[in-house]
Amino acid sequence: MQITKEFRASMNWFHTWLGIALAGILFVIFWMGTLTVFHLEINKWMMPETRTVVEVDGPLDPIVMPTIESMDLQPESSLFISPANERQSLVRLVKFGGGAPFEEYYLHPETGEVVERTDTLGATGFFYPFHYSLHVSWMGLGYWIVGLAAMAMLILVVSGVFIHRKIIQDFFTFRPKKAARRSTLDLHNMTAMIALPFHVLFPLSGILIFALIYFPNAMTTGYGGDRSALIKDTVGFFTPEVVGEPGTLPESLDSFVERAEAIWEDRDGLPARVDGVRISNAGDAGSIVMVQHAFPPRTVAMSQGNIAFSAATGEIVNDFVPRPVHNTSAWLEGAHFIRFDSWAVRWLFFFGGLAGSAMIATGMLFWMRARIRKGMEPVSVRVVRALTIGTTTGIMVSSAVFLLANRALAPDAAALGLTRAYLEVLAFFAVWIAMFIHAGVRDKRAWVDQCWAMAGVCVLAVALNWATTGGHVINTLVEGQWAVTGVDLTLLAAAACAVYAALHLRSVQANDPEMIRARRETSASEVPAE
Amino acid sequence: MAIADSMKLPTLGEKTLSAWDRTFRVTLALVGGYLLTAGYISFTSAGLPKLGMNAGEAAFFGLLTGLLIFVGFAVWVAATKFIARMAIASVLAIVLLNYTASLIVATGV
Repeated sequence: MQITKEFRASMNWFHTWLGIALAGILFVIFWMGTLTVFHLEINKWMMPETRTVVEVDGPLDPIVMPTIESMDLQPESSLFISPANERQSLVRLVKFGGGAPFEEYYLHPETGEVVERTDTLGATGFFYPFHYSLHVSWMGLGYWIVGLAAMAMLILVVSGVFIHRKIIQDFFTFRPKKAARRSTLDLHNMTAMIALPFHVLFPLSGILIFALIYFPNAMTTGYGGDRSALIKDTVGFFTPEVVGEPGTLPESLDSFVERAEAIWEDRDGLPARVDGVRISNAGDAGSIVMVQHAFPPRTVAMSQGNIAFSAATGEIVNDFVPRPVHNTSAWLEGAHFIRFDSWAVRWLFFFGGLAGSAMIATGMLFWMRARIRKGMEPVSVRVVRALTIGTTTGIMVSSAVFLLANRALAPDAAALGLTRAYLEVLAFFAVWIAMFIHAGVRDKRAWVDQCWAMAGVCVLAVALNWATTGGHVINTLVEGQWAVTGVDLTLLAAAACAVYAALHLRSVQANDPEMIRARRETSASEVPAE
Repeated sequence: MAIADSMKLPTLGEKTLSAWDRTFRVTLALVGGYLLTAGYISFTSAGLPKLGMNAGEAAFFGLLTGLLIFVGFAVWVAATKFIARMAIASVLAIVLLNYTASLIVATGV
């Protein structure tokens, strides 16, 4: 099929309309997703108690069983144990269901001692859910907004590809010395092309991850609408029926782990690793212990299956092996969750996320400049510019403020009826709203202001981390605390980029006709009447 | 040449679209595309197991291929000259897919 001029024109307006309608939401999703790449490392920075550097390959029983045995377990209580690993230095134990409140414990991987962590949501509890649900929980609306944005993103990528006549050339074209509109468009095209595989992979896999939310009836058609049956058949998860008689906890979880690992190693011919252990209906005689298989080395996968054992008799109740089509879906989901062992590729994903964020931001800027050229009303220009600045640099500043607040607040801080964790969240949203207002008041100058603010906040966060924990870049590096070093260095790099951007924008704005006219008008109004 | 011309996607030509037309097309692409994809997934989830495929595999096959159909549909909606016909055809396709799926499930055929 020949791509005609008319077809390209239709893709052009479609791309523009859809892009502008959802640019803000897409930027937020991409930005939060980029931060989430290193959510466990940011957690370590935000919770200094978790900065342990220990061997994590030991047995689970001496670590978790004392805490489990002290719990009041109901017949329908469930437990989930997530072993420590290279990125998560503590063993995580959660208890849920059975009509009791959710309980979460973090256990030292050597002693099993419950670690009292800093009261914070951390990156896992704030940035991560922001990415997939925008923290809008009313009727699951956040998931739907993100899903809509993901579907639109797929269309945007395809339409964007069709728009360009010389798509390969665009990959290598960036003319910073040209007019601002030209160089902005070049940057938009270049960041789109550089990370094109990411821009296709992430929205596609994001929709797959929440497929049961977006297509609940469609997916369960083959099971007569039975969602549990679909889940059991495709991923092997199920909750057994309550027998109604009191049960006792298994004496050893490690015995189940060892049996499962032996089965997987025998089957796959590869070393096996356990991703998690789940005990369903822990207080009931019909309780099961489900051992989940993590991705093997040098593979990408959300999960490689699981084995469920009867807690009472030890016999295998269900041995789930993923099927081919679902394996494809699991591969895509695993890529989205970065479920594979490669720090180089993890960093590549981080820079891919930044490229995606830059692509969206430059798209917004290009559209704004085009509309100004076509004669958009000054008031509208001001509003659009304020929204653009607040959405882009504004959320960056407020994300840095979230980290700064974490180090600045006292461990037992509480105010306005909010716990310490939610005071950090309040700081984020208060600063974000302030950034929008600031952009509305300062107009074009807000770009420079917010770049300086970003630089200042990032440096202050690093300094406060040093002051409150004694950990600075050099000694954390020497101690092998790579996560903390990485976050500090990234904050400093962000500050350096923000300073460069501020200085560059200031020199550009010095020669901007609109800014020169504004300065003349300001000076004229200050000259006293004779 | 004649065959190639007839296979070309009908496009908008020199016509400039009104704001309403564009809004309608974007809405049809997103909402209609979503409903069409959901109908397609229902159809494959119900129909493929009758050909021997596992029901869960059928659902995920429908989902993976359905998203490709969604993108193709959206591009077609944006580019077509005959948007009214496209909208009617989409509604018919959505109804037909869902009805067929429910028929397969209800009758066990």
